[in-house]
Amino acid sequence: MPKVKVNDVEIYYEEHGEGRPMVFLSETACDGEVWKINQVAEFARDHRVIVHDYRGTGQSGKPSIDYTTTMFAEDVVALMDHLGAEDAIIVGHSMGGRVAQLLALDYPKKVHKLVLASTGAHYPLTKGLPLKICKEMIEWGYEKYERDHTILVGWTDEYVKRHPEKIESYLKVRMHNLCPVEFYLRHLLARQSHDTSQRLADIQQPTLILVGDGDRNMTSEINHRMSSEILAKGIPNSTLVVLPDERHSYFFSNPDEAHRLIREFIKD
Amino acid sequence: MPKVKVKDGEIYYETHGQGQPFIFFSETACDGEIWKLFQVPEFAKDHRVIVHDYRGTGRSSKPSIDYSTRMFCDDAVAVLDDLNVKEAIVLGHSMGGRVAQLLALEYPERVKKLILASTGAAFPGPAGLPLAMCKEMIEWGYEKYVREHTIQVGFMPEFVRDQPERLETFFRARLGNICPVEFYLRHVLARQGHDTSGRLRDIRAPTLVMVGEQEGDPKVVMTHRMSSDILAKGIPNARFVVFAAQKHNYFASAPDAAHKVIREFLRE
Repeated sequence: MPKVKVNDVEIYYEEHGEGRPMVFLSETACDGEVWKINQVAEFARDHRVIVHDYRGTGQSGKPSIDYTTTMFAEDVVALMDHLGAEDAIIVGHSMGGRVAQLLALDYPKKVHKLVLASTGAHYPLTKGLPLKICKEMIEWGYEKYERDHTILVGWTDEYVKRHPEKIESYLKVRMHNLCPVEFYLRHLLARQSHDTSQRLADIQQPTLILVGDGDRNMTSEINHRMSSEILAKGIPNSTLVVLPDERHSYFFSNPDEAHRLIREFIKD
Repeated sequence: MPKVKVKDGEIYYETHGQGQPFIFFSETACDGEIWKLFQVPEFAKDHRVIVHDYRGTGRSSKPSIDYSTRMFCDDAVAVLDDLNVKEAIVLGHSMGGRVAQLLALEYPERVKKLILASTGAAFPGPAGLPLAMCKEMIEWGYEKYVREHTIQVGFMPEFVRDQPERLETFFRARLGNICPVEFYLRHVLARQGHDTSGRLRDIRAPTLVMVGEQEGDPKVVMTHRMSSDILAKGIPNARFVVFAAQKHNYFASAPDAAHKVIREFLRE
């Protein structure tokens, strides 16, 4: 499968389908595989879907240097240049939504429309590794933390109780090629230092903001429900849609509704 | 044994012996027990030795709030007040030396003489939890990290090899009542946030700066060897002693040599 060397690091990527380019950007320290559960199949029918593994994750290079969301955005831009992809629909989930904001701001030609799913503009107080996350990773171990944290923030108690086998099938993908803990921490540092809060008014593209009504877990001082409101107020041409009875991972638990909202938004 | 009430809880302390008060401050997230191995028996012969457990450690309260070295300093002043001690000899090891500097700066009338052992005025580089430490704690587990890290920075390989029973005695005291990991992290954050680098020339107390010759871990940006040099140069009335063939924990590996240097300094 293809890799391209950009900015001194090999980036693994995949393309599926034909049509207007659609780039999916994953959450913190998560490679591109999760999009292949539901979104690639749906949107590759009429789009050129591009997924990739961030530096530090999956099959991409893992240099032991400080990471930033700017660096992740530059990797995506270099990948799009390599593929000759312009004017794409960018879907960013969680940390991926922070990278997506930077693409819209710093490389507006690359971005046709923007979908910001369960994300935010900044963490104003916590620069550096959040104590709560480190404490839990140390006490529980890395893999158990990632597993338990994904379940806790991802889905309602009701969904977890009713669909244990679905949760397992998601975790199988998420945990399959989990990045070494060093790079999880480097991604966290990149996320915590991201700040586009003063630049939201400059995002010109039509923007769809999605968030689960129950996405209220506090890993730092702001939860995604709060930060999505901030995005909606700050970005001029934006629409906020709150998904009822969902937390962080509705791309998996309620893909049909997520896809319907995105299709409605991107139809020209 | 006595406790003194402070704003957020209670601070546990002990006194041993009679004479000129002599207060000891431990390293990061370490309670006062460690001094009872060698220093309490030695100096209680002719001093009123005071040891205490920092907030977050030992038998003191453990409020889940942000800690600072200033807070530790004020807690110690509460202990001195409770004992009606007007003026003491102040010895601080590692993070305890940062607290001791603040005591000398903020409460100069309480500090007769100052001993700064293997410490520094500031940590250069980014604030917050250090990535390398978090990575190792997650990969190794908390207790194993403290043990391995202490061996690595604290003792010469020959000591570890030739004196296993002395090492175990040390670890029984160090790890016997180890604080929950949350408070270890809170202590690290307090240490990282400490900065007296612009104030060293205002330290008026006669000062003894001590460091192990081999405290030069090439992995860290600022070794205790370097930071001790900075202290010795920056504090007006300072003398500087380097212990040959010692690392960070010479109070346990070479107590006689450390005591001899301290007694000479106190006689002047």
